[in-house]
Amino acid sequence: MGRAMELVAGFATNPGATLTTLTPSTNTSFTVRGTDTTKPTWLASAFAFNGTAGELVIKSPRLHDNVQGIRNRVTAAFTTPLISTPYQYAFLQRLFAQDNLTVQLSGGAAELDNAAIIILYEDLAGVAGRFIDIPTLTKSGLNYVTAEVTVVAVATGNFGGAVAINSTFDTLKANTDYAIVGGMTDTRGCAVGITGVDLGNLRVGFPAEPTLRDLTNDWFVNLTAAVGKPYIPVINSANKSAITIDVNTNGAGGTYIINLLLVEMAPGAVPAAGQ
Amino acid sequence: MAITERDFPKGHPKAADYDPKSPDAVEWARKNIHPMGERDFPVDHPKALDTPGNKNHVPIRAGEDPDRPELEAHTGATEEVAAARRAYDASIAASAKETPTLEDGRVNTAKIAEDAAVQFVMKQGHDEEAARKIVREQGIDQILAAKATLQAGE
Repeated sequence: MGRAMELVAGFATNPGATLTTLTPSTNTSFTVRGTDTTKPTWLASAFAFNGTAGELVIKSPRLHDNVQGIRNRVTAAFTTPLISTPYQYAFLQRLFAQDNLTVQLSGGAAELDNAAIIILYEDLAGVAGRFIDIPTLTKSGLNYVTAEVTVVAVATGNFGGAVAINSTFDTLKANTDYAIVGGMTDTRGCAVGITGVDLGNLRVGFPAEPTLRDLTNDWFVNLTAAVGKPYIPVINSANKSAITIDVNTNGAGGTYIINLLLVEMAPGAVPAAGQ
Repeated sequence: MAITERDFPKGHPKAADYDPKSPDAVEWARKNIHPMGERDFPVDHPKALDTPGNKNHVPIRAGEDPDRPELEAHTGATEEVAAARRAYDASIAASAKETPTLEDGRVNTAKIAEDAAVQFVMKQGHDEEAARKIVREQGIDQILAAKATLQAGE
């Protein structure tokens, strides 16, 4: 089964009070990928990073309405989940294959404002991410380990500064599975992205919010608990040079020290991708 | 007659020696009689509205030190330091690269790894052509492992 998660981020340039449709980060899209329509696709979370307070709108004729849809106030300089905050049970908004979501943002008149959404695919053809549930993590998790990397973000509103998970410290055990529990950032941005072949080279991630470390450090566990589906990503250290971390932020750029919280898994506890 | 154990505090209306004009009675009334109704905080409490010098008018904003609003929120940096950091961020952002992605939106992780390895070898004094040749011969994983090992102490 091709389970997948994708974090899609975009930016609006000088939106001011006008709800402006976001420009997705390079080569990405807010259009839901084509899937088997019998297998659900879900909108799991959304967050925005505004220098000036604004509104984030997610709408589509296939959702509740195409007028205001899911509309939320974005407070300035606080990248917090605006829907489905994974502190507790979260209702999931169902999405539909190839539906072109309209994601709009208002904010400052002289700044880039960014927003991101997380889409969960229960079966995405051609992609086979490795994800586990909480009982598997509990049963087969062995040791905590952190992976600290430094990401220099670009100031264009796109994802940038990608570095390998072992770019700063190369301490992962060879050929070992690691569950990504969550992570922390020391600098505010829109989103931290994690990508690797184990995740179908689709970007998963969490809000780049340094004041919500308790939330982001267990992000994927909380998300899994909140949505009741296995979405704790698992990577294998054999792929470490192609497991990358990058950041999406506004026109200020910045240097981000990212700590990923990993759990070493028992050998053979996590099936290979697609199994 | 000396009172060894009082039935009510000095100034309390029920005290045997109550004199409404005594300083004790005036003070007791100030602290305990509230014609406007129940108070949110006791008299003289630092957060009581009628306590001289209270800071209830000072807005509490996320990340901001209310006593030093001139400092940058969340970091506590002075304006000068914050400006210098912004300038530094802007200067390095100019040289940072966007994450390479494939046409279908997937991240091109192979290119990221290869570029990192080539950059590392170039830093050792090789030109780009030689660096790419070394990476091809040695393998990306080995080069990046060496890079991580060398950087571990930095």
